[in-house]
Amino acid sequence: LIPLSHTLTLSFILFGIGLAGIFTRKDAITIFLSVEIILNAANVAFIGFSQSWGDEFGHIATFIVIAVAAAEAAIGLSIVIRLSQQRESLRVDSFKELKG
Amino acid sequence: MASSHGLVPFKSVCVFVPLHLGKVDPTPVSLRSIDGFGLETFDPLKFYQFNHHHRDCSEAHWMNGVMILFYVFSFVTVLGSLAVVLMKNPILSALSLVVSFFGVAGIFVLLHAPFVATIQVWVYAGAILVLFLYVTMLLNIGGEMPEEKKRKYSKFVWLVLGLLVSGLIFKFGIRQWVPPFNIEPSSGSIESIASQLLNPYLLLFELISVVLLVGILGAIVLAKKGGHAP
Repeated sequence: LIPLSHTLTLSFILFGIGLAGIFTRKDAITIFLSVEIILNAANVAFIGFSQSWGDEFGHIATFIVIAVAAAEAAIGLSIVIRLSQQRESLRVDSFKELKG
Repeated sequence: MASSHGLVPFKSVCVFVPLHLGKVDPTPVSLRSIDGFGLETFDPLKFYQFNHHHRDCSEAHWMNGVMILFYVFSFVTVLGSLAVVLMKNPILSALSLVVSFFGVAGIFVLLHAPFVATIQVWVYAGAILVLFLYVTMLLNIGGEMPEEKKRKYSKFVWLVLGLLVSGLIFKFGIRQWVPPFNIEPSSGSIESIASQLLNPYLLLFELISVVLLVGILGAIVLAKKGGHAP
């Protein structure tokens, strides 16, 4: 068995990397990719707890997280497509007004 | 009673006779007459010690292999995630996210979650990342890919390297240095996850399908050419 501390450490590292990506990058697509990294960190933590506690719910939660991530990617990317049709640039700080 | 503890009664004196047969101590048993007193008894203590020690050893090896693989996959995952954040080109970021996802899938396998690992590779690395790559390339925001330098022997070198790696894998096999995972059928297998997902969490399962349906419809409505943005 892999100790829970190792799994949680990896999860925290991934979460930190994703958070740093969200805060430092200006690109909308890269911010989405960083969100996916954070979701993956959550998945790693879920599976680690599931193995450590002998509970199956972590697997189901990961399944749900993956499905929600798929829906989120579809909607988010279509929003990105709309934004690129309006503005030409995908830098996040160029979107200052909600009204397009 | 006495013999089960390795004690052999002899002239009302208990003598500990550590005699045993088997692989532990292959000293030959001395000859004796047919009707003689049998001394070689099963030694539970020694047997237990040997068995315990042996099992500990094999378990330690197993742990070592799994831990090494865990560190390797963690390294790959963290490196891929760092590359996602640090790369300038969004296409390269998405491709490094594929590397990170594969590392996470390996960690899931090590954590006795083969089904989730499969889903991770199929859905995440296969579907979601392809979506990201398509959108990135469609919007043409990736900038120019770095020009590939002309290298004379590049293809040849990579071919030889690939053949070498596949030959090594063929020669030594993965099974020799990766110990077999004894995954119990009741932990993380598709059967148990399915029975959990369709019995206590059935509402959750149905809600996922609704969420996905709404996601698909929303994506179509949002990205439609000339459609009204809500």
